Amino acid sequence: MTTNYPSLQTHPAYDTSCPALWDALRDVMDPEIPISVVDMGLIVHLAQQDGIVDLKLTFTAMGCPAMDFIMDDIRTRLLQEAGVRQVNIEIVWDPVWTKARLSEDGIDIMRTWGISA
Amino acid sequence: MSTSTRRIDHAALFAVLSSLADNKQAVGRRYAYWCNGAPALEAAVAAAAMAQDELGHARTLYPLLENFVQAEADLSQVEPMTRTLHYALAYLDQDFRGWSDFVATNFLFDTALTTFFEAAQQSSYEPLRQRARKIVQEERIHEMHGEGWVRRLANAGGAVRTTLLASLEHLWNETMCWFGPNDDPTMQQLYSEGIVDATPDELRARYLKKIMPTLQGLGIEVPVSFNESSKQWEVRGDLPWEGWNEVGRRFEQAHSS
Repeated sequence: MTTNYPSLQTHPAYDTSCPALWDALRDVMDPEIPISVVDMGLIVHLAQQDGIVDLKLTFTAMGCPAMDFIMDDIRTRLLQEAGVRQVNIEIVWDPVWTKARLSEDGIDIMRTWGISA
Repeated sequence: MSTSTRRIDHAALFAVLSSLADNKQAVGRRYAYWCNGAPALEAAVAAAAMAQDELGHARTLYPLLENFVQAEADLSQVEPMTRTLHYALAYLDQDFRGWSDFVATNFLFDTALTTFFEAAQQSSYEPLRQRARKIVQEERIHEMHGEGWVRRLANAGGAVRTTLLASLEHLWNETMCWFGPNDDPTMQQLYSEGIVDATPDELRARYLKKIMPTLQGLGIEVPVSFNESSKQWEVRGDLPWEGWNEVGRRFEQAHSS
């Protein structure tokens, strides 16, 4: 997937909002629906310091069978980014995921696939 | 496995979390048997989805156990695959005898557990608070499913209704007891420390408020009365505490009926 995250053009590399990492995460897709973990609203918090990424991740359901796949994909993708040498992922359940966490692109994708959003 | 040196020393919370995890795991496993045996295709799909939810709830609860001092004696007890203690209801020791046992578990016991999680949504213990909110969200669908099937089986009449009533009766006492006697030191400690916002009697009252409109509307008799002065449903008579194991939060043996 080719990404074109606008903030890449306007944020300096040391920006703590990590635009490049957010953009990278848009390459990580939900295994069941062709929607990225960003557009799905699964990324709760993202921070980077000294090459270490701390990421808080939620899931749509506690019994999500794809949890391990998604975490592996996130870790693999972020480690491809320059300067990233470690990725720490914490699963959180607060905030509770609802469809309000879908991005506008995510809502469009869900509707395209016939899923109410 | 983490060997954190800052484990929490809290026997009461450890006991209740163990019970919650074991019960979620047991309910999930029992539901799973019915993924291809339910009486309707939609029910089989629902059984699969609910089994996945319940096992997911268990999967998020078990890891909390290793954060407690009480786990240090035997760390194999915090992993569902190596755990030999089983603090799930005795009712769940055996396979469901039929779909009506599934419905009874869904309607009665799963709703009882949800009542506890609702009372923990503002918990002073943050890991439980986080999980409780998500579990309550997911359980809304389970409650609708349980209530819908109780209505369907009860309204069918005849042997179908009779079988449902037997399943509800079979599970009734142990579900009511799960909250503990009102002076239960474990639950009272959780209440006094703000881990849950209700005593055992208050939890039972909240639970009855959830299930009684359905049972009453279907003319299903249970030993419960509405107290006009307190405006609450209350258990009529004594619960069978003589068979209650306060450590396992279960009856000593599965009841026969």
